[in-house]
Amino acid sequence: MMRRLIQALLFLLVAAGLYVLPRFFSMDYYLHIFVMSEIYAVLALSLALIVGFTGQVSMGHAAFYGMGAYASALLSIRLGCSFWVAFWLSGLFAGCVSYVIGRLVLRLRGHVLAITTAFFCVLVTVVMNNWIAVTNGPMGITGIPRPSPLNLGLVRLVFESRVHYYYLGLFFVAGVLFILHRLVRSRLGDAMIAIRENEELATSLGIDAMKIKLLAFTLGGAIAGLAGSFYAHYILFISPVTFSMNESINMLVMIIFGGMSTLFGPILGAVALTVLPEFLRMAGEMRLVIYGVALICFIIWLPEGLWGSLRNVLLSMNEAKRMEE
Amino acid sequence: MLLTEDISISFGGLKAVEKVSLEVREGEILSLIGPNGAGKTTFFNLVSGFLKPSCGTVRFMGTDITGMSPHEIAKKGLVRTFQKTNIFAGVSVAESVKIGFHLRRKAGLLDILTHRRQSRQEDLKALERAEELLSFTSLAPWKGHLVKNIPYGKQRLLGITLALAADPKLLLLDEPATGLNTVETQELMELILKIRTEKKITVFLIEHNMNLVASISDRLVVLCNGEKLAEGLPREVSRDPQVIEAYLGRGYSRAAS
Repeated sequence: MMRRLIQALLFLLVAAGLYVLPRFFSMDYYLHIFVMSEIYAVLALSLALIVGFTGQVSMGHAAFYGMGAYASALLSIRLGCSFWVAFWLSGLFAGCVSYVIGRLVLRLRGHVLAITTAFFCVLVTVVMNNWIAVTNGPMGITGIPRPSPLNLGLVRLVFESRVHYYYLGLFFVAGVLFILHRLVRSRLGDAMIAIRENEELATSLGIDAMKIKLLAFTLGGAIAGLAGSFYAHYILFISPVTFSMNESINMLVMIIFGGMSTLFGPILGAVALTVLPEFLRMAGEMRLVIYGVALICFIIWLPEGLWGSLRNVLLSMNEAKRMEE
Repeated sequence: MLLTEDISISFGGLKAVEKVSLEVREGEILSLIGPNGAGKTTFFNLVSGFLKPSCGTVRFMGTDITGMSPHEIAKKGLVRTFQKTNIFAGVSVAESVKIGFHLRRKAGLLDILTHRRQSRQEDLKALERAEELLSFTSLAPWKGHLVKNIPYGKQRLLGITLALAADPKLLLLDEPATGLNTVETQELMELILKIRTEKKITVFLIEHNMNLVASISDRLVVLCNGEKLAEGLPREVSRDPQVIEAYLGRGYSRAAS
């Protein structure tokens, strides 16, 4: 009961904090970083479902992000779909593609899977660059419309400034977090963890490994597609460079940094690695070096990421306390 | 209950299992013995779907399960453990048994996302039953520990606990006593007997420890070079000159006869 109360209070505190944040950081520059943090939080969460919970290393996540962005941009420009329709359709599209790709590649394991998904990501970028009739090639797509105003009875929501996107993004992250929270604590989430820990044993206990891996891969891909749509209608311009392999690696670094087998870790990693590079701007060329060194240190000393390691310390302290009693 | 008819598999030129037919009867404890490399584990892999026989059929409770995938076979009630210590290293003991209950929890994706009462109750029940099962295999004191931190003997026991969680009708144990000391082996024997009497589960095991095999098995099957050498009551089999020859060499069998 007491714990419930503390949890509720904590939740309210965080919500209030996030609500007032733009008042203190009202410059467009800050707000842009916040919105990008939100997009990366969603991407990192969806990748964590595949890599962190199910244990299938994918280096192709940016492909689904990009496909969502292109699908949404084309749907709204060519077919005149409103963002609110294009958003869901692009998620559906990315989900369908990742289902098909998953079917093909998820029988592979470990490094082979990582390399294959990386190639898939490269392939998608090549298509974006060369299928000029549809994607406009390296020039990218301009003139993507903003989300149309939303009439919710009493209030009318418009999406014109970065603050509006910030609040919309908060709902987006919260929604994804909510769904994944339920999923990872369920029977299916247990099955995912079982596959990550030991696929052979999981199979012997009646877990259909292919089905569960496909579920994680498809859902992860679909959510990345939604994030792509949000990005496209926020930046209003997309080009293939944004969705390259580097972006896939970027997302992987985020979940390694934050801790990929938790739900809070990926969010922490996404925010940290979106905000931190801004501070490192003054380091200029050295920025990538610092980045690389930090990553190596993490893999060696904090393999479970910032949040994962912290949680482990807390858990073992708890266990020690219980032993004493 | 389990019936294999002439199942065979070869790896390259090596005939690992060659035309083996045997039957496991409901309610019995049957042991599969034989020298190293006789094909015992391969035989288990064929029966549990981890390998597909190149010819022959496997029938379980009247249905043909030849060539089915391991998870489908587990769903039918034929669950196996492994010779090597196969564990979910990074989770707690209780959590790990909860995973084992996968087959008894039915909630689909939609039930989970809408947080249906049924799926919530299922989760609670799984935890409850995990506790019950852990006390059945006397692992309850370890339930809060990470699986990788508990002693080896307990990890072996946890392997059996997980298999029990999957609700087997027939349990295949692949060398459950490997690496256990005398006390632990004694406890294991008692557990196997308890599995049959209290849980009404038929047990089919591979074992090297003749002490264990002879005292708990109803029948033995001897495998040698991939072929079935003998079958029968423990008493009969241990006197069979062919079996003695396979285990100890030709000279001994002459001495015995």
